Amino acid sequence: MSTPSSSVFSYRVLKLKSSDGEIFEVKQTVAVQSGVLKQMMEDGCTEGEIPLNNVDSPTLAKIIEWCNKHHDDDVEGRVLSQEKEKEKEKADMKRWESEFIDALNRDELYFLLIGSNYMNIKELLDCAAQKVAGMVKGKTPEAIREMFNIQSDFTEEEEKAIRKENQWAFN
Amino acid sequence: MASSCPPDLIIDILLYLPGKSLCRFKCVSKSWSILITHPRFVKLHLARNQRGKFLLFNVKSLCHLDPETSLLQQEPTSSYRNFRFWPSISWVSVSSNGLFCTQMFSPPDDDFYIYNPSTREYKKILYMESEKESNSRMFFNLHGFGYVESMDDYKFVKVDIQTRIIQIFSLRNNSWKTIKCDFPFNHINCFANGLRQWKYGIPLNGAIHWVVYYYDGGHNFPRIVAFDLVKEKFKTFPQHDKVFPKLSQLTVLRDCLCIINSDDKFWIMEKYGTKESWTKIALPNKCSWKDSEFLFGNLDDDGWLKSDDNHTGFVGNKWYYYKPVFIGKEQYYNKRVYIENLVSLNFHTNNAVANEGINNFT
Repeated sequence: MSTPSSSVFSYRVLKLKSSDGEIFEVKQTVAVQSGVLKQMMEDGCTEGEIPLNNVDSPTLAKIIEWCNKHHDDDVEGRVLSQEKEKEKEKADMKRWESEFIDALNRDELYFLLIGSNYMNIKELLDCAAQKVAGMVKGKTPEAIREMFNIQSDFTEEEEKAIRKENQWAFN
Repeated sequence: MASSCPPDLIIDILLYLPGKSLCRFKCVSKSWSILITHPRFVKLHLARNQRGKFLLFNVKSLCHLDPETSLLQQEPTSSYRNFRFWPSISWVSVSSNGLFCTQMFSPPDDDFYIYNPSTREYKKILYMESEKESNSRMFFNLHGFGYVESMDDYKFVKVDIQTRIIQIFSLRNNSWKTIKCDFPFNHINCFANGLRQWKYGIPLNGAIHWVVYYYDGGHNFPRIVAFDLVKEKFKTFPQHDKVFPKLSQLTVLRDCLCIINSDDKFWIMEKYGTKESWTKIALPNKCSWKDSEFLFGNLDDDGWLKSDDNHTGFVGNKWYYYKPVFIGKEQYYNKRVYIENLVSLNFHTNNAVANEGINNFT
């Protein structure tokens, strides 16, 4: 992360500032995976530090790790002529992704979800959302309320009725 | 997890959940219930969950089978809502866009139901007045149930070949209509190749397809006839000599009409309606069961169900494994495949209410 700014486009770096004030340098070609940063680059307003007020430093580090992994340094230089090679690469990436996501604890996962949503990094957002979905899939409505801090606004009768209607889904 | 998860993130997460979890989570709060039943959410969820699930049935009960988890869940007919008598299942149509049409044998009314296996919702379809007398001629009827994307409607069609009367039920309008049919059914042999082919057609591309047998005085020859659910008119498909002679099953594979021949040769009509586009395809087949029925659990051929009288199993393209489907002493002879669609069967009346509700969520 210490590449100095240079005039060659592909090695230009952006300075991202996390909510707790830490500076991260990221290559433009990597940062382009974030819809928000991409837009800023197109608008030419990436000079100086870019404040990311919703993303703390541990989360930003994780996000950059993801983006670096998903960034292909040398797309044009490499020829993937073999279908098998492509398949293998895809499978390797899938494995890396699930290991990356599985290693996070619940809070880290949550902040990653918020961060990738804020920075608009679709692939990471989907991956994190899918992981959370897997975690909540078998839970009861009570557990969901607790997890997402939701107050039930059903009256007693309403809740009884909707539970009865969906009783099969509790078995 | 945290104090405030933004609503759009909750939507992102919920879109990855199976229908069963979502039906349970309708009980979380009013806004969750409104979100999960909202037509826009339902459409997004449908688009993301195209993997097939299986519905197995015999006369007494239905059984749901999720190939991903191999979980079986039984649903006895007595659990159907609003039944006065113990009913039995007469038939279940082929699924279209996740829904089924089914007929219960429960005298004195042999009622039709539209059924959503993903929400376990039933909707009783009342007969037209003229309907009851014609029941005795059921064998001469073609039945079909299909989704029409351009109209966002589901239609059930009943064609009486003898009287040339077509009855059409539109779920969106929640009403029947009757039209006269000018299609040349004169030389059709209703009894060729068993009656199975007659009961319900194969829905695809806003039309329902049946294999019928024409009789030319000496031979029966099969032909695909299709009923266009938009124009509400019949059309024929040109015959292809190589494809039809050993025909044993008409189905859909890779979004194309597919004919499976008795020698397990697969043909798909790559370009819908074009005779020249019938193409023979190869499927990995390590299964030697004879006279089996094929059900494709996906748009591609990866993951399907194959069965004969003694076995039912999954056969995958990338993995091979068989799992017999018996629950207790119950054996399920009939199998259907469907995709999960959380659409309400009363969507024609619910839309306005739901649109109001989504604003409360965001």
